[in-house]
Amino acid sequence: MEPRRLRCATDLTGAVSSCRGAAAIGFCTVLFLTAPRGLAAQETSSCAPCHEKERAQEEKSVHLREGVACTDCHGGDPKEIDKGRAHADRVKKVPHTEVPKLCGGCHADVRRMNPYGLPTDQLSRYQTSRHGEVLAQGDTEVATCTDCHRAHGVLSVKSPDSPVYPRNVPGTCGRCHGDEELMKKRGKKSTAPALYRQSVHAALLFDKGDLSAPTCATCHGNHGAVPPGVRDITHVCGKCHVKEHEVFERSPHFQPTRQGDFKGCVQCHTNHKILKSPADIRKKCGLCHDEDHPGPKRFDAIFARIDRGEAALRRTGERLEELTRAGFHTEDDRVLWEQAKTANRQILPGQHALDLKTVEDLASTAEKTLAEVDRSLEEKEKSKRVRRLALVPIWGFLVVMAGLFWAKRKAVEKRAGSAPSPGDRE
Amino acid sequence: MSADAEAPKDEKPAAADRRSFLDLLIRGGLLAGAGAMAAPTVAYLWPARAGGGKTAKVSAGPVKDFPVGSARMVQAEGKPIIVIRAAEDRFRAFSAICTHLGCVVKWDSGSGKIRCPCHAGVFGTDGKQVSGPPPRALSEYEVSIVGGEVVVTL
Repeated sequence: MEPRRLRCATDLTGAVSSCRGAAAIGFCTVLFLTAPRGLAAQETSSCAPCHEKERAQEEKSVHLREGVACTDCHGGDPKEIDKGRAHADRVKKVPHTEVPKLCGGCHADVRRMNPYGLPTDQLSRYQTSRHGEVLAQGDTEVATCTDCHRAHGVLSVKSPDSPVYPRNVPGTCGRCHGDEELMKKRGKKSTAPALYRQSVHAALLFDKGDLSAPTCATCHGNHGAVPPGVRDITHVCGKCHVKEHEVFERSPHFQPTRQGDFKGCVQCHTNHKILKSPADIRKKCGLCHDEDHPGPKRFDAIFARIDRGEAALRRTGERLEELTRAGFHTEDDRVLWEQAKTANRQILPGQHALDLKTVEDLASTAEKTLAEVDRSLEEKEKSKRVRRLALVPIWGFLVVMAGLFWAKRKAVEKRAGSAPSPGDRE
Repeated sequence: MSADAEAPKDEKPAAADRRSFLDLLIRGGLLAGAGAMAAPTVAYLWPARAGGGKTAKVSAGPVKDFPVGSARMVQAEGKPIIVIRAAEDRFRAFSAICTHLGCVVKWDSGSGKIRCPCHAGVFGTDGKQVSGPPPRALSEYEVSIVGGEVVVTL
């Protein structure tokens, strides 16, 4: 007779069905009793011992912590230890197309989400998103909730390990949107993630660690992700760039944007790479205008003025620093310099109206204030020169004193040489 | 005993005069040098009569000239400071340097908010950011009323 083997360690369900009786019951009792206190439904359910991989993935999940059981998504009976009965009405694998509705079962439930302060419009947003639209059209590969949040091991957005943590969002979106083959099948470009990495937004997020820096979701939306329409672009950018948005309404480009003939901000800055350097932006003028057009000329005049102002501000700032280091009181000058800087800083957002007069007004305000600072610094520099001249008499004094000591020494030596020795006196 | 006292008796009077003049110059020089070194020491040890202290204080003017809902700009130690009278008995002072890109903020009496003219950052009367790009609140300074004057302590 073949000896009875207990296979519970690797396959509890199989063990329960094969080794009926006291051995299995005893093992399961031990499992239950030795389970760490505080573990939620999944750990104490009969799923965990067989579905080791999923259990491990769920370890840090917010769902596990809040008592969401495997069966809440997959069905089945968590109290049943017999595999057949436990899996009776189980959905083997939730179909990808059903995921949004399944998650929405809880996440669109206002009462259920209320204590967590979570929004409950994600499902409706998803359904109106480009992802949701494509899903409805039968694309079963399109992203649903689990593609961004994972199926098991869903973490809070505040967790740095979460795929939807701000620093991880570009990578999460880039998994599909940077996949050339996947995007090609849908007639899309796969360059957006790579371009974003070169943008000023990515530099803020990755280099400076600014978690409030825009990611893909900031402009496109997260659950309701859609590419913004041409007319909406200024509103999308204007969420953060408030001043630029306000000023742009006075720009000659505003009306064409409203009519859908000009792509607003992205026409000059591009959408994902977000050009910032005036030289790069200047090249964009040529897409619509001839070089003889007054527009590009105005652009050149504006940026020449800005460059001049910045150079003057920097020069004065350096003089200010030098005099502060030299021990002069420069507090009042510093306040004035800050005011000049404020006027200068207003020019960059202000130039979006492409109005040379506004730029000129701000630049001359900055210049006048800087001139005042420069006058004051000039006085201090004069004083510094006078102080340096004071070293001349001090060094002169030291040289004279050295000369006097030398003469004294010579005189003493001379006297000592001419004086009679003690023997001569006798 | 001085060198003069040791001078031989048969030495010429002109040489003795030169030596005494040389000694005089040396003594004068040493005295001036000692004085130059002693002066800063005495100045350091002399009890301070004004100023000093670790904290700087600046007056924002009399309370009676400060209407509720108004603000004033003052400066101390090279820092622009905005002082607000938010209520009858509530004065608050903040650094007027915007936490976004360092522009000098202004008081907007119409909305009762502090605004940055550069990138439209808005702060409330508590110095906390209300909207726009500023990443954090304005730094706050202590305000006290001393003899009817609004005094900001840095």
